[in-house]
Amino acid sequence: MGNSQNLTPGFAREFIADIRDDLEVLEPDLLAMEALGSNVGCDLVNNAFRAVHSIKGGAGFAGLTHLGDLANSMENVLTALREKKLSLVFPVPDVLLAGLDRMKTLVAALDSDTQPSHEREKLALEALISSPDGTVYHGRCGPFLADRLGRMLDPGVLKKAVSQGKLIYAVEFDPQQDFLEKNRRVRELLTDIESIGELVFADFDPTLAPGTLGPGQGPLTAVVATILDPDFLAQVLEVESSRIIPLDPDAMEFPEPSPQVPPGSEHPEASGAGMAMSPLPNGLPQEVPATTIRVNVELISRLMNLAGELVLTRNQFRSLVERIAVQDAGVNQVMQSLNTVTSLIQEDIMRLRMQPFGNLVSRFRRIVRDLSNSLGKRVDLLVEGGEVELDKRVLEGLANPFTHLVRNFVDHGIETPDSRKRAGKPTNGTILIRVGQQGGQVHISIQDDGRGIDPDTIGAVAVDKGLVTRESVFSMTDKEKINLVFKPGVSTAETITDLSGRGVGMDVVKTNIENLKGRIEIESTPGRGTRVQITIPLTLAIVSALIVGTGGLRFAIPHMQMQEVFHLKPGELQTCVERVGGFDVLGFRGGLLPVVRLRTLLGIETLFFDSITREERRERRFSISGPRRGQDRRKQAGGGIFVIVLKQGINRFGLLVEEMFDTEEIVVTPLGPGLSTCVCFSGSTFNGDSGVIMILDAPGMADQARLGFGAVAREEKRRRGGKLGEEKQGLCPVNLMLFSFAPDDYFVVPLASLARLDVIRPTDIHTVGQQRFMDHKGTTTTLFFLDEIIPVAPCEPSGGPVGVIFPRGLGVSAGIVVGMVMDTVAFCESMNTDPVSPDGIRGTAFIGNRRVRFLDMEHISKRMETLVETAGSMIGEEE
Amino acid sequence: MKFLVVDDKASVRSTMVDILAGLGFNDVTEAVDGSDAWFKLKAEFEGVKPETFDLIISDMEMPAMTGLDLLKAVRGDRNLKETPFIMVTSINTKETIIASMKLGIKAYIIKPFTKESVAAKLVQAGFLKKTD
Repeated sequence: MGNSQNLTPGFAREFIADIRDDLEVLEPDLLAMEALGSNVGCDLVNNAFRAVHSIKGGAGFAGLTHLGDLANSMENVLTALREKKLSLVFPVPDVLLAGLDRMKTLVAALDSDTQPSHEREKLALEALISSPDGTVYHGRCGPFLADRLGRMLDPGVLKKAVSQGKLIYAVEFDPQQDFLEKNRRVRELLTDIESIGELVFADFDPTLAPGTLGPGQGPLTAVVATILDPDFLAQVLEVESSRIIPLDPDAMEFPEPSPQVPPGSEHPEASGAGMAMSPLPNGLPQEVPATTIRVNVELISRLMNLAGELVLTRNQFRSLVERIAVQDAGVNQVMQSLNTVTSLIQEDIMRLRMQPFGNLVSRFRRIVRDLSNSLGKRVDLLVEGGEVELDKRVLEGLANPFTHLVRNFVDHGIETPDSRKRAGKPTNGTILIRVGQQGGQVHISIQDDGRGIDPDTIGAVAVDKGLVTRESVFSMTDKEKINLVFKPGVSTAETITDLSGRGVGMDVVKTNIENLKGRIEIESTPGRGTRVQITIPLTLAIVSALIVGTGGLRFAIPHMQMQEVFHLKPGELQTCVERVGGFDVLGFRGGLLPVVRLRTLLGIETLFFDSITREERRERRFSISGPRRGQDRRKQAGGGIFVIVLKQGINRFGLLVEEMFDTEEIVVTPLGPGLSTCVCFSGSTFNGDSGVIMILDAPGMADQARLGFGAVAREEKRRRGGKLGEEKQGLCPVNLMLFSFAPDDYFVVPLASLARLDVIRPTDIHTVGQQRFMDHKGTTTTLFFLDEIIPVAPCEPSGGPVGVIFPRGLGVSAGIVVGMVMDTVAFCESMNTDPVSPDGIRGTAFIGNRRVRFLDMEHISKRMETLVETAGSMIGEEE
Repeated sequence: MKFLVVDDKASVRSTMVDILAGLGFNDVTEAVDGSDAWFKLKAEFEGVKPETFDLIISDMEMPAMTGLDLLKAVRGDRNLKETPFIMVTSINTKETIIASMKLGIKAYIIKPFTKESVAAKLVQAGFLKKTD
């Protein structure tokens, strides 16, 4: 209780209440004074003076000697301001505000057993008005100088200077004394500095004309690196040696919050009290002990749970009320207010545990600073939305993964200043953390402008480590490849450092985020930067979810995992859904959406209403696509279907459900250990209407359904005018023409590679010498049999019609007789390539039961062109 | 490491030599003033080349050839100009400080010096590793 114990508590309390009021008045006054600067009017200074004076008096009565002491120093400074002996320029406002903050801390500490020191602020205030003659004060920074400079200096430059054996000094110049009176120019000073060392920093314009320096100007500060001792430096710079303040670069940047802050303080604001001059936005103390109380976190957690139960009961009650509301409409009104009140209670109790994200940030700043210094990098950490509040538990859970991410960004993402310069980027790398709230979710993105991640490197590492097969990497999109960093053991770092690069961590980050019921995804552009996007629920206990149904059962889908919902009319489904690479997909917003039926996924038996026999029958068909010939009886079943677009990492897929109910706030109960193998569910909840309902989990369902995101993405790309070369990968369906040249010798050729296909009778083929021709629309075209072009078994003429194909992009007019055209097939598996396959054959595959060979149309076209040319020249010779 | 210690006062010289020996630098040649030092740095005897020194620690105020003169001469010599130089001094003017800094010295040792201050300057000049 500080020094107040010698008085009756009531007596002291009255004074303390007055002091609090005065402190409240003082702050806006000081801020207004700072805004006006040298133009400040007497009234404002007098107001501030009166407030400080009354604080001093009150502190005296209440026996608060420290506070009185500090108020006295402050009063002296205000007196100097009032008498115009001191100008209100930097650092005066800062020091005054720091004094005010310290006074607040002192008052706040009365409620605790600690007694913060006020020496630093007192010294700072006194330094402002320390002057030998006492007529004009120069407002020196004093003990605050190092703090202030620490935030302006480049640690890299200081480090370099120190490594060269130089010492770092801050020098304060007085414009009046050091320049005007001596008729010395700033430029001369700079020449002197450069002759004995280097100028690291100056808070004034080095080209400043002497005329702009007036008596009202605050001190000028320069930081100099030199091998000289302070006395010598003072001599060279022609200042008193007391103006030379040695700086210790190891100790000065980002000074620790003042250790006098009450330890273990639960108020996030209190930790900022010692950093009064900090430019950080949330550094200003907001000490209002009268309006806050400390509560045990346990109690809040209990209240949270109770609020959860209350919501639950409300939901149960509501479904009851809906039934009886038909009889008594008044019930509805009561229900409504119960609704509102419950929601408000839940909201407020949840807010009890909320803390701003900014609380985490100080930790990151320190990490970024330490790490970038040790790596010789220069990194700016920017935070947007630090005021967004998160559940304490969520915030705590975020600390570790975020620390890891920030480290990785500094260590691997941001390049050294040199290589940044070479890449045409600013030397300072930027890490931007953005926090925003949307609904019940918090979106956090952390991005850098560094070197980015090369998807192929990650893919290769993952294959090397045996985490994925080469084939599956081949079919992945870049985004999927980059997201492989979340697999255990994958690292992009070329070198392992103390802090990161061992490939341990990103998987842990992902697990941590998932434990918070959050999602994490990463995207990166090599050379441009990387962005990690994290979405987590504001709180863990209650989620809002959509209740859906299939086969008479109900399920909940958390909103968090949903992107959107749309409805397909009866019958529309069969026409909209098609098969791509063995998966059902739906055309969706210009792209393709893999879809899966919930009842198929969970193996739920469904009934449908047969419109012809007018009876309910068991649904036996599980495939979605492909309309049946004639009328589809099933289209009468139900009222169409709902497609719920779910997010799984970077992928989207559609869940098809027959019924959709309401949106509800559900209280999540985790799955018991016996159910932990049910990947499709993340938990359960109790619903008023239908008892226990399971909560569906999008990532789990996507895994269970083995959705082919890669194949679908490639098909999507192809349809958007992607390259035909992709057909080599074999996984997107290719339309092929199947023909047999010799009996049981089957070939296929992609339809896309053909310009034309003719079916002719053998009699249409004319033979002239060794050349064969056919007439087509009045022109004569050279024909080759396939065995003339590539080494295959010859064709035995059967007398039936034969196919002639004309390769696309052929330089000459010629066709190939390919024997019997059998079919066109859509082929979506991969073909086997055989290293010893003859020229003109790309590979083999089984289609149906037939072994077919793929023609290499490129080779064939070249060969035909050669053949036509040699034939032409031979004819020429014969003539 | 071969050092050249230049001072016109024998007492100061031997103090410096003792301190250097205490810091592990035993190969120290003494010169009684600037011109003696210059002689030791430059003169050839019967075809024997002068010794080369890794560091010159010279007093500033000496008769005839001052420390600053010696520094100027060393910096003006083709073979010697890279030799590290530490200036020992008690008083100084702005002009001499700037002049010697411009010629390139590794450090100033301020008289009266102690083992600690000399060690600190040798650390600064890169001849000793920091031990703390």
